[in-house]
Amino acid sequence: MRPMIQFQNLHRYFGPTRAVNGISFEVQQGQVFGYIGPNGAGKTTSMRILATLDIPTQGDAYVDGFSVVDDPDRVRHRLGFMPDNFGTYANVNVREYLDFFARAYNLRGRQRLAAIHRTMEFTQLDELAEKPINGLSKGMKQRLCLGRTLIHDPPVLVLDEPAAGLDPRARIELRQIIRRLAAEGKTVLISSHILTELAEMCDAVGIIERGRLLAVGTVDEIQKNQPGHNAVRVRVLGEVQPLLTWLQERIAIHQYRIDGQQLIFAHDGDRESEADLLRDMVLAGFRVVEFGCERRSLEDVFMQVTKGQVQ
Amino acid sequence: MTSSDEAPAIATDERGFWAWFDTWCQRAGEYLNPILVKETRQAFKSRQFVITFSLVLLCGWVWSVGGLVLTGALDGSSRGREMFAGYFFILGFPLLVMVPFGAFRSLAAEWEDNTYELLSISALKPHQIVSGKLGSSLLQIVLYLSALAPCLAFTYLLRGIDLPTIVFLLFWMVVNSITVTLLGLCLATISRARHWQVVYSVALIAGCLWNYGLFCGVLTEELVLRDRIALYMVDPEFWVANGIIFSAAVGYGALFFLIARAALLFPSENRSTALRICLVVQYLLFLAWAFWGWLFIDPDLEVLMSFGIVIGLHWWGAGAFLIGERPELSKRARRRLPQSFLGRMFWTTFNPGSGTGYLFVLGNLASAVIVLAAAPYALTALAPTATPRIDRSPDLALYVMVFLGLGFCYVTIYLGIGRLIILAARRFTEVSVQLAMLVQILLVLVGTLGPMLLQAWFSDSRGYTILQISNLFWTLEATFRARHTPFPELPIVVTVLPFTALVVLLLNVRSVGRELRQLRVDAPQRVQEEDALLHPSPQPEPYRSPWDEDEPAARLTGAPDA
Repeated sequence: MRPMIQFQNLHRYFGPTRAVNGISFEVQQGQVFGYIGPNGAGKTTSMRILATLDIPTQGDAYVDGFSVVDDPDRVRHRLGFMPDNFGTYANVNVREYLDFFARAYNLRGRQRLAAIHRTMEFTQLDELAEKPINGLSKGMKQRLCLGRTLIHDPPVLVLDEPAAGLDPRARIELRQIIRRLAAEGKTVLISSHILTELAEMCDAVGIIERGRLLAVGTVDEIQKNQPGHNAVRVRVLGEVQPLLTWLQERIAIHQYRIDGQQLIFAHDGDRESEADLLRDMVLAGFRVVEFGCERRSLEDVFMQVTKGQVQ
Repeated sequence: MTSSDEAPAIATDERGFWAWFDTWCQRAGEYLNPILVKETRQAFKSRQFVITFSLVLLCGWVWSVGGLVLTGALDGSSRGREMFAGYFFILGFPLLVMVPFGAFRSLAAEWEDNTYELLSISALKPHQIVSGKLGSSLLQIVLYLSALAPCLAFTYLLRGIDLPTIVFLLFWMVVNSITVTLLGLCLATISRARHWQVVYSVALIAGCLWNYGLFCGVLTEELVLRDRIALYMVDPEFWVANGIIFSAAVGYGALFFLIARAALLFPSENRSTALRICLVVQYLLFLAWAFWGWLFIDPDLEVLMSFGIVIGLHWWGAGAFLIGERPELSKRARRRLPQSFLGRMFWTTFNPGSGTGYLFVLGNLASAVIVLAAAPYALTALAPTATPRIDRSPDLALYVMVFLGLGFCYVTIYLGIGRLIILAARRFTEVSVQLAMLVQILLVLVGTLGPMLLQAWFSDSRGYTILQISNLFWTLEATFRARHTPFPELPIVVTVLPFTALVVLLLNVRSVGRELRQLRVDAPQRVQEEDALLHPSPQPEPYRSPWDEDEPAARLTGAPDA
């Protein structure tokens, strides 16, 4: 099956700065792909290349099999791009703004009116149709920009920091909209700093830093590939130190923390090995009153994978 | 989003003419440029347009009342000319200053407000973006004209100015306004850096004000107030001059449009071929007008040299930009390269690239040199008695040839050296087309001012010496006057310059040849698949013998059913 988005050894240099340095990954149809990385990691640059706003120094990117370098016009028909900061026109209201972009995407007559109607309904902008854009709140402007992105009903959406600057309510609503889009089978490439949200809505994520892709896959896959991806919490009656000594003899523990009568340590094993460990603890005479395993969050994985380096 | 919601229907009240007209306008509006629609909506709500439009109307009314009193038209004398001059100045300001500058700002604001990116990723093509902005300016021109139309009609009723004069002057004002508007749009696209935008903005507003003062001042003084238009209108030279100026306005307007379009095109697109075609059309237009004027107005051989100077400047200016193009062709551009032998022979130099640009300029300039040098001989051979005023001395014809040949050598040398410098610089850094132009200007400045300064410091001679051989202006000027003023260095100049030009040309040959060998590539599989899906080729009908008695054939021939 042909991927809807494909980065192929993509490079983009700005003088000595390697903003994007050999990125390759694919996003299949209907997937929501989270693109995460610290500021200046190369997310926006690679998204702009995908949106045909920039060209790579080397390599290529494809949307539905079409090269962004050689066939930008075909890519643009299939792609809706929501930039992190976007401009609006003075003396234009919401309906006129959407009408302009509908015309710009060659939608005519009833087809155009239907697209505007559908977009306003979907983004819940109906009531603000006649309101000047300059009078809209940040959240409403984000919705309008999303509406503009959706006006020609593209199968691929590239959303660069769509939740930036939104209040919690607007953020939740935006997340719901993206879920609905994903449910309709659209391929979404989304970047955000709010990792908990991405973890909830993304089928796959890519972590990028200093222009290099450090990890890619489903959230589970990435978590599993990181050493000590599970945090095991054990509470015993009595001293914790003997348990730690016993564990250190038995398995290699690199990261641990003693919190009162509770020992928390990183563990790479699966569910079966965790069950075996509990059984062995009890058989060894430790009086275990609480035993829990927690998967590390995307935030933890992100912190572990990235080094916070900027270029 | 995929659900097919019912759209609110377009109002189609069939009662009455206005309802029909409204529906018709709505339908027609579907085919208008989206930018024109948006800008018109914006303009009608903007304070700037309302204020400017109101001011024009107010000035018109003030001049209608004040002008009548000041010019003494109230006593019944023919003061239409003076009144028209006032209205012409009032109309000129919005048309020659506000509209062009407004178009420049409108496009420049797209980068400043981050809205251009949203436009560029839509289905709008760059030519639609530029023509949308131009269309919006044209609409403003029409509105300003219609605002002052009653006043202009009023001057005709006051007598003293006739209708052809009014139409003639308004025609030129509109042509001037459109050309300057296109220049403004072109400047807005050349550089997106803020500091350059400021420079261009100041230059444009100054240029617009200068153009406004000169155009309105000269035309009203010469044609209206002195009432010389009647004299001019019967003079054929006047109409030839009008034809030349109109051709130049159309030619340069088209060039500005194409430059703006090229600047907005995606980097992998072919930005150059359309510009090169426009340059050739401009050149041919000039050549046609020049020869027409030369033959019928002033058949002097020395005039041919001035034609040569204009053509040389045209191609040198074009070449300075063209040699700055990148030598690599994108796969997208290579998909449309000419494939046939004749196509490759005639169209290869129209392909983008610095080498093809160099060759393109030299080819066109060589054709100009040949045509201009051969013109007197051709005229003598074809019509020996047609133009008795022509100076047919072989001595003069030789000087014309030498002058044109040296001009060609200078262009070959300067563009060739500039191109080699740019090719070398590209190994280390990015060189833009603007930078290539600057390199060329610097090169000519060094070649011109350098020897002049050297001569001023180290020599007492104030006349031309062989040190000035790199100074194309002085050398060509000395050659131009050589028939009347002694030019002893001429034999050295005609030996050294062609030899140097040949050496520079040979130094460029290898890299130019590499560009000429570019071949067409096929579109990728995915593109071919989609094209086949969108435009399926008609399936060939299976071959059927006319003797087969199948059913349709039997019906056609009226044969009875079996």
